[in-house]
Amino acid sequence: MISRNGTLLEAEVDGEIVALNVESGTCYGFNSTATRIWSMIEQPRSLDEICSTLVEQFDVQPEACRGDVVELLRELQADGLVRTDPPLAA
Amino acid sequence: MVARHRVEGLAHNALAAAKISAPADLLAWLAGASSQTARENLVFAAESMRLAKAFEQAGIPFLFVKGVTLSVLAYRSLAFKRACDIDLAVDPDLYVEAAELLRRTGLQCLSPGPSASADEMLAWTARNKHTVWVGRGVAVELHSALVDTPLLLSKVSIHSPRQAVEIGPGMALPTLAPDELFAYLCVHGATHAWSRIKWLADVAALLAHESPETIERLYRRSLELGAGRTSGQALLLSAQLLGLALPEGLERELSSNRAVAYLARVALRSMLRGGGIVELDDMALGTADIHLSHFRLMPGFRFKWSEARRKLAGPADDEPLPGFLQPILAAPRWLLRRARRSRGAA
Repeated sequence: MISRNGTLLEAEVDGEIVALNVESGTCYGFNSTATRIWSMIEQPRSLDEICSTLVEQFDVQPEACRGDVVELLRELQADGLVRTDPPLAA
Repeated sequence: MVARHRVEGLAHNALAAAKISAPADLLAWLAGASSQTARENLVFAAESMRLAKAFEQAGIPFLFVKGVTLSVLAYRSLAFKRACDIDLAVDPDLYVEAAELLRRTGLQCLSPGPSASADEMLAWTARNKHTVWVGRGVAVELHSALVDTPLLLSKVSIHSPRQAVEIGPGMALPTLAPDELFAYLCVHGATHAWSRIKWLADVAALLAHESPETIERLYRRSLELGAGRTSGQALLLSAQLLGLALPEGLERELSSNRAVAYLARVALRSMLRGGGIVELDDMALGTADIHLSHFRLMPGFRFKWSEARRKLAGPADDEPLPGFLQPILAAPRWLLRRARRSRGAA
């Protein structure tokens, strides 16, 4: 399961999120896809659920989608913004 | 005009929501300004949380007004409402401690000055309701009072009922409770004659989801809290310009009140003066109307006399005049100040 971790201040403009990690002072800009993923994991979701939703909504191949989602989640995990259980494979 | 009225984010959001087409370069500019507003608000929000933690640890009561708390209350978002600073109010009896705390957090006092002593700080706030602090990319106004005029909003202070506003997950900041907040916003906007429409937009947005009965209750309560004619002015303008639905009887009452109607006319002129583009301070006598309107914000001679004395004393950064010279020199000094400002703008 994948869920949010840590605290971000967020503001959404034109379907994209700008966010600030209050503790680290790091700023983030999420494009529309990242914004969609971030919104989905407001409640814990599985990787399969996230990918199947994105494949349905965007014109993207399932394998490519999974690869991009995992890469994004790893970046967010490295910054302490998401929790994954079990951990994402390296 | 959007920039003068500081409603870039609101305009961008409104155009998108209404699916109104506009020239591409205008939309691009609005999108950029809107994104900038959102980023700035995040910085303000983070700094507000930092200050809140410091003041809580120091045991100094505080609350925020306007800014990010109002952004969330009115627009349910940090994205749209442009703010220029953080307004932080404290008990005047703890003002020196609060100022020292801001210094310890790394902020520098801009007005009255970085090396102002405690006495100088108190002398400043005796004539001006706030000092200005800067650092970490933000400006903070530390308020000893919520309004310049003690007779206005006399029943609202730092110790009034408050509400916690969640600005992010597990992050909340205190501001005035709804009744007091409405009254405060009306007084604040009226003292500027609503010359920036963003202030009116905030009030209208706060009330947009309220029933006409609640709006009437807020209005009557604001009169008890000392808002004078400011709330009537705000409601009339909101109905006329922003489509706020008022109870029919109340709208009639406000429209037929000559003083409220006068104040509404002054506000409209202030919003549109200079084509709604030029800053009022950059125009000769651009704010004269506004200053004159202050005398009508509340009924009664006592209020007018209090306003006259306050205006004769001049702004806090002017050297105070001896009492007997105030009525003689106040007007020429004001004109000189305006002339210097206009020359500076040119």
